[in-house]
Amino acid sequence: MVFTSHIFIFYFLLVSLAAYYATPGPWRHVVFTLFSYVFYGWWNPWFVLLMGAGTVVDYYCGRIITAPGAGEGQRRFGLLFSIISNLLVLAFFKYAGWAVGTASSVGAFLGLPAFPVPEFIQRIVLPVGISFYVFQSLSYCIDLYRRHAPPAKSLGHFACFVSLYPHLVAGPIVRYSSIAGQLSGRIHTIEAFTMGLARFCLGFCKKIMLADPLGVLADAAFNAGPGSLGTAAAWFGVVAYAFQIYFDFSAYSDMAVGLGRMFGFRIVENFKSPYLAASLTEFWRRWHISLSTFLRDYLYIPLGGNRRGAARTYVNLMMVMVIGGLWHGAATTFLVWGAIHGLMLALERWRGRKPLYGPLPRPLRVALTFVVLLVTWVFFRADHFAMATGYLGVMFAGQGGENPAAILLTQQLFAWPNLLWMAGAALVVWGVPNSQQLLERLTVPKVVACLAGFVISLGLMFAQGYSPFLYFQF
Amino acid sequence: MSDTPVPIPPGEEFPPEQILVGRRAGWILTGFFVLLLAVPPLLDGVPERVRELWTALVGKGSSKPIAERLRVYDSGVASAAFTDAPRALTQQVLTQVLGKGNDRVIPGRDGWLFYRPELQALTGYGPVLPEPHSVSRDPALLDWQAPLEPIREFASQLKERGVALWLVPVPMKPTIYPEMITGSPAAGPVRHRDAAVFFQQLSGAGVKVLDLAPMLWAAKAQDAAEGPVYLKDDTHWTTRGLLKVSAMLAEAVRAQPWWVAPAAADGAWTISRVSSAPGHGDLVEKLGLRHPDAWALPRTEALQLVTPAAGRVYPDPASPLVVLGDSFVNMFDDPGLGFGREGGARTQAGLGWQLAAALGAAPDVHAVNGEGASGVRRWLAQRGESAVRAKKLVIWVIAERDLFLSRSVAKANRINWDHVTFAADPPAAAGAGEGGGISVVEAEVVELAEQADPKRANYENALYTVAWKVRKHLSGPAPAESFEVVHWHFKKRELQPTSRLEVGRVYRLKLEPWASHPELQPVNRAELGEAVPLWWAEAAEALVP
Repeated sequence: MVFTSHIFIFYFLLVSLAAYYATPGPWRHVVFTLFSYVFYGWWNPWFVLLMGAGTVVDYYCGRIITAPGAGEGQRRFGLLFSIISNLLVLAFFKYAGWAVGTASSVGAFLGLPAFPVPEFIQRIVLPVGISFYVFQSLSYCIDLYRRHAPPAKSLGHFACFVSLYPHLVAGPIVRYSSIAGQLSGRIHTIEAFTMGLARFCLGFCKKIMLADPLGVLADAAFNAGPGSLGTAAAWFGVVAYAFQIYFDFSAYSDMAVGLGRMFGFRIVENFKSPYLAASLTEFWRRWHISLSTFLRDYLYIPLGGNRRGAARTYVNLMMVMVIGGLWHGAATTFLVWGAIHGLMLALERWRGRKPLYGPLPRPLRVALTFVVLLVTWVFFRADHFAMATGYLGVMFAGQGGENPAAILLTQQLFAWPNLLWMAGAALVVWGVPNSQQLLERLTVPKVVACLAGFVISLGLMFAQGYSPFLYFQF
Repeated sequence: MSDTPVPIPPGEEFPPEQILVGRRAGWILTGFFVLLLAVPPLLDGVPERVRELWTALVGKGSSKPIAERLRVYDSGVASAAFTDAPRALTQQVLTQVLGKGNDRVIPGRDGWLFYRPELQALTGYGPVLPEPHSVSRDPALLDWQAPLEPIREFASQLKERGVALWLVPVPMKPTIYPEMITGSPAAGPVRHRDAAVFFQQLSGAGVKVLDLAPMLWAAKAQDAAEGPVYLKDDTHWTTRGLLKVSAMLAEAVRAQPWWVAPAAADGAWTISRVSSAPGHGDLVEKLGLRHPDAWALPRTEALQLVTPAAGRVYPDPASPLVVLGDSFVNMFDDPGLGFGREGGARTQAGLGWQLAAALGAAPDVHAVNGEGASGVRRWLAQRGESAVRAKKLVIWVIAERDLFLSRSVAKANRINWDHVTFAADPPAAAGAGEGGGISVVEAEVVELAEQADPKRANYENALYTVAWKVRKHLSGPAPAESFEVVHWHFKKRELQPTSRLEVGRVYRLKLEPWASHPELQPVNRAELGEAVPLWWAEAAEALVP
């Protein structure tokens, strides 16, 4: 189910809230879990079995790890079983097709006998949000093994943690330690509910008013055939995508945080105005914070972090970002996206944790960082590596635009309503406080404004349709 | 392990906040939010939605997987009646104040409207250099077939039967009128970059391609005096554009050695000029404005009506010339496409009629809105060996965008290039809808063709095909044990009772031969793709199990 769909807004949300608040306190997490399973099963009910099975496996792995008197061998067995089972699920659903396809291509390149990618592998459907809930579930066992988290009090509590529908399919990635206490007891007040409502409405407005219209522009540019895209249109398209993905993903996080508050949960923040970053290092402290802290704590630090010398630190940064790239999707484009980020982080580290463009005034450093990000977004958005390199060729080498139809696309993109939308988006990105800052001091006029925006956004949703959140595909 | 609290990891602390909303204000604001979300579904009819949800979950009424059934249910909820008024009002503001279209229509200059998929087709990947595909993105795209091979195969099967194929791609509106988007004149028609190579590939496969773009572009020089060749607010051509094309095709047909001009053709086809009923084009309808008249006044189109003399039939199944096509052929003939005459009967001013008048003899015409790529080819292939061998030439008129859409956009627009195989002659006593009278049967629904969302469909009327199995034959000619029936899906975008048939349920049907309803032939029809003769049933009476 999508937060910006009719079925969620007009049916599921109210029914789940009503059922939750009508249930006596001790059973509320059970009701919430049931609704979370319905929410997830709405895409494909069969995937519920997958999530349920993963939950049971990790819960019992946790029991093995934390069993009274458990020796190191038993604890390690529990951890390894959890890691292997979770990674196998990811490997099958997410990486099998890409791995076999890449092996086939590499084999052909090396002159080895060609082998086709089996049909069934090509047709594997990726369960929505699998990367998010698998990571969360996996982190539970790792935290138990490290003694960084208490064990879940019951399978019900653990199932509620894994399936918590507000952030289930696109994050923020929540760790058990930050939510364990809330599973047992939550405080419900009308004031906190109002805060959640305002945050949810604000996220809804961002998605419908900004992300979706900008997505139309980005799609037009990225779906252009060879020669149909001029240089100006290519830049316009990738800026539109940069805005789209920020508004789309941060809108989802706003809605997740808001929904969490409505049900009495506090969910971690995921964004802090990322395009105000003056370096890539700073960007990762502001963008998808729950993923960057996850990668830091579960990958970078175990790899040695910065404790094993400069060269190893650069390698670690590179590895973490490449894996982070592949976490987003099984494609060469994501690998390259991660590699560029890794390279930039290593470069900035090499320069003594100072931005490469250190002497420049901050606005210029912010602008340069944004340009670097635009290059990475090309790989992130393109459906294929060749499309990404072609797009960059148009952006930087002036290739393309020779098709007479290119003028149609350029005019379509640069129509004045689109320029207006882009200007509005830029203002919100660089000139307006972020959602968290806007609502950190919640007043009645702010809630009224959020509700008014929500009503207008509903009209836009009816008229213009809605599209799924970009991060659902991960 | 102890149950002591563990510190929250760095970066995951909750930021400070200050809630200055009192309890009373909180309750009032929350109450407003709840009412806003609760009232529309209550007005919409919750019991009906619950019943539909149950149907989707248990699978009654469909043979599709549950995930697909839920998507159809979602689509139904999204089209709920309570969304109509705010949708139209919002779009009116967006279009009139901001000049913004929607996901299907792009406003151009001076009130010109353009169909968004046409721009996508012109600027996207095409049939020669196809869109690169990553298997990790959308596995369903693997099933989509590019047009070249199905067209080659179709042409080859026709050639084996001694029939030539002419492909007539109708240029997209922005090809001929790019300045209505760009604001600056173009040197020539704006084509897809694959157009020339693709047409060469088709020629190499024995398909003659009649490229209309140069002729229509040249005709533009006279626009100031004679009016444009495309309608401003519609996807299709004007009468002027249509007449240019029919004259060109008629001249080419007359030049064929096998063509014999009919004797005493004079007076057999009378031409008269009338005005269409006032209306808006299909693109205005696709915009979905609350007050379309406030955006542009309804207008009329000069029609060239063709009336046959007594004894002349249209279409003529015995003609050696077959015209296959889509809505471009049905324009000014199917009243469902607008610009019809008062009363709603077939307008008789479309391409087939103009060819009949120009040639002095009616061709065999089969044109279905939105089915130019596959449906009409399937119809010809199912005619039977003898019927096809009696033909000399197939003129296949098709919207050029169907040929040039990239696979992802084509899939989104339901353009499928199916392989069709020509059928042998049907058995003499087929017990089928092609002949015979009215039958009454009790039958069980076996399968339903995929139904489009009436509010999102390209056309305001649509039919669909249902596969049935006879339970009891009550009267009239007996159909085969398994047979297919065409039913209404929606009329004027309103779902009809026959759109809610349920798989496995038994109904009483009054079957009429499908061919006995020529007025329904142009209507967009979702097919099952089976090569069996069709029946027609206006209604289906559910029997108590």
